[in-house]
Amino acid sequence: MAKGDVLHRQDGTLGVLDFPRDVTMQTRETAYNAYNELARAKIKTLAFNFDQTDYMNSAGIGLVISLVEDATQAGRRVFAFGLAPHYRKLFNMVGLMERLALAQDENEVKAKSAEPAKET
Amino acid sequence: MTVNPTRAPESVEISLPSTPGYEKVARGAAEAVAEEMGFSRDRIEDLKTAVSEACMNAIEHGNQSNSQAVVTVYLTVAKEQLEVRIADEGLSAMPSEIPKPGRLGGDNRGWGMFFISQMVDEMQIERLPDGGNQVKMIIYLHPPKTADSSAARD
Repeated sequence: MAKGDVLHRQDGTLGVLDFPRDVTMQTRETAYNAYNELARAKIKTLAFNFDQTDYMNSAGIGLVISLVEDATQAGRRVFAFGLAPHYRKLFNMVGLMERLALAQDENEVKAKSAEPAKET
Repeated sequence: MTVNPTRAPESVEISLPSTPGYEKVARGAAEAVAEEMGFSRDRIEDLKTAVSEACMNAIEHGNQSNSQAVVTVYLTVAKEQLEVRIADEGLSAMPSEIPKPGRLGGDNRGWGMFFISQMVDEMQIERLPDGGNQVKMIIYLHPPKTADSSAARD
């Protein structure tokens, strides 16, 4: 019943994953396909766009955790934008807020990704 | 629909097939009832997450994703609280205790029960006499004050 694919876009070394309205277990295949396309294109920064997302369950959050782990291990900086306050709270509960940076929108991601990464 | 949270309990019962996606029907119904009761927006979002996670648990674990098996959702409006019970057919027994959240490696799943426990005021996992599993949750219209906020008021 769940619908919606994850799409990807590239702007220089920035890769953007556009998430659909529902982010669930059913999103996994297209999310990985989109992510792998961007990884092959050797992006340095990955941004998750949740502008369209209004339902994300624990399987969807698990998927985001997996993608963040992979991107971080590959040395990419990770951002998210368009995230509703409730999902910020859930991301915080699972420790995602310590592993990605939040931005208001894509322009802010572009500005922040141009800055040198902070030491953690 | 008009819901009066101070009057005698009123109930809504919904039957869902065990197919992922139908949890959104229960989520929508819970949201509608909670809005009528006057819950705040952030409490409604918490409730929606708890309901969808409990339904997914019933679909995937309790009913083993057998679409012929039914998940039953009961929403009971009582004085100043909404009780939600989500029952499955018990094709697989649920643990009586909340499992440790998250799983290392793999697909990073396993956060559902943890989320439920954090989103509602009371939560109980029960084995029903007919063999099914039931997750019972209560969310209060006005959440209990924490020890910290009481101390600040005193």
